[in-house]
Amino acid sequence: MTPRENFVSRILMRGSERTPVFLRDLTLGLDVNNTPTDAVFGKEYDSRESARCVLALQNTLGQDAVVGCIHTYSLEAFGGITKYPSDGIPYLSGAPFDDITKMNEHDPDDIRDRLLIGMRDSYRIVRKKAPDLAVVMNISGPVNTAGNLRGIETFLMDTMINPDIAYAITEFSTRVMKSTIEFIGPENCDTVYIAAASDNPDMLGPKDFRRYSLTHMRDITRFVHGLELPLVFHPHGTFSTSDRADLLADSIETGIDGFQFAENNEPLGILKQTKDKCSILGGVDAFTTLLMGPEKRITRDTNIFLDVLGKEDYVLTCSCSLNRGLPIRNVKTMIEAVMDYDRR
Amino acid sequence: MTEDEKTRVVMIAGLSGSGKTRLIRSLLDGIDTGRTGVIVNNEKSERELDGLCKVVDSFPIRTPCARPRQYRYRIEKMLDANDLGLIMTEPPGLCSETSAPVLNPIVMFKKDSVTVGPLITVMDYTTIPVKGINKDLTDEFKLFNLIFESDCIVVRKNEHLSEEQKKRVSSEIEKINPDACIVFHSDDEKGMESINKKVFSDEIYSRPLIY
Repeated sequence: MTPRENFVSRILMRGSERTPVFLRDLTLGLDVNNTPTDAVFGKEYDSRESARCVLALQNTLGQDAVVGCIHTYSLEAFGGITKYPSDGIPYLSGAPFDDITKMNEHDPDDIRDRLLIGMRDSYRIVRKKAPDLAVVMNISGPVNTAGNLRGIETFLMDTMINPDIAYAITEFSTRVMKSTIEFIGPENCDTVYIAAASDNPDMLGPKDFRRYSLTHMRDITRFVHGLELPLVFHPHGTFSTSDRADLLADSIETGIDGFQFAENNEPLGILKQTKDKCSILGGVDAFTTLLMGPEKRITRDTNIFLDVLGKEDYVLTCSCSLNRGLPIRNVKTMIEAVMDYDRR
Repeated sequence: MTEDEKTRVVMIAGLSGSGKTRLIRSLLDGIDTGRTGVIVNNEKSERELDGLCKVVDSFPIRTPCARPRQYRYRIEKMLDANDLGLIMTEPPGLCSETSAPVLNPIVMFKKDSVTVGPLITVMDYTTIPVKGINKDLTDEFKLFNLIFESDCIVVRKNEHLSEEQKKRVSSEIEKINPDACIVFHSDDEKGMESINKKVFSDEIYSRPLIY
């Protein structure tokens, strides 16, 4: 099996010979080539350099699946401001729809700006240069996008004071997601991955999580399946406890093919719900174990996940995306632990 | 830069309404605040502490994965603009997440200019269930995580607790984190002395970084 086949097979619960690894390496590749962040996100998005960084990291680490470009929030199309520190990670500096009337001045298809064209070109280059690798399309989730557009605090206030506005902006965000997915194109990836830190029952409460996140996830999943792609959902928050079992079950019932749990979840609690229903993704905490090491702890924590999930429909990831600054040696240690486990 | 010249960052964590800002206010009382900065997680707390130390900033709510990255920038920004010996800070976010992830990037990337003081978690004693903490329930699982990562647990609103009740609370905490220093604190109690010792000692803390 090629890495691509291995990854897709596990996502679709068809089994495979070894544990696939997906790092959701949004900007970590920049470190391998010593590329300044603002060199990729310059006046024009440098798709060649982006693809070069993605592939250089894969060449160093050997993971099965990659994200097809060096990522950012790409909300400039709606008037958002993203800062690109030379040796840092892109971050949002302003919410474009802090004044809600601005939403009416835009169409979701505005997302297809020069930046997204550049990012799509990077996906194309990666696909072409490495046809045996799985390419995962990273898309911000419905509430995540709404929070970025509106400002997360304002959005949360909206859910209490102006729920119609909160719903409208989440609907707008869902259309932005669809437009982005269609534009990058199913031919340039193997799986759509919904990155959704703010689609989070700890932030929204279970009721609003169902209303704002799951309603739209059902819609997005149908849309992605229409493009004949599988979809992985990665909300943050707690899902592994018994009083959240219904919430996890409802998330799976949206039709998703894979569920990735975030940090502070017990893998066994997640597995109880996902087993035979969808694949499961997750793993070592990116901000504690993987960032700080030491090697012994990384190996220990990786094995904790593998002992519970290694024989299941499981793809090893980290708890969150990987970005520049993270010691690459630590990630290598994690991948070596996976290889050792599979050899046993 | 010598260890003495580095800025000490002390995290005061705890669920919403647990008394984090109040504890910071108490700590500011009676120290040289000319080189002290505070970062809180809402504007109301920022207003409450305004003028009580050299600089106060508020870091509004952030998603779990954005907060460790942006917290680092926030610390850098405060240090660039001010000569500070101490920064006391509430964690950004919803207060229900663990704080170790936001401290780690500081340790990793700012170790030449910053040392990490204790991670202090403030909690109302009533949040600790009488039957013990059940990790299979969401709220108690979060409480478990907060206790597990802390160097020091400050138990507030304990004025009417009997010694026996205090023992029970201590025992529940120790089951989760036997290394944590437990302080039963009211503003007028000598418990402040223990917290002060933790905050202002030269001890280097590592629990959030290694668990």
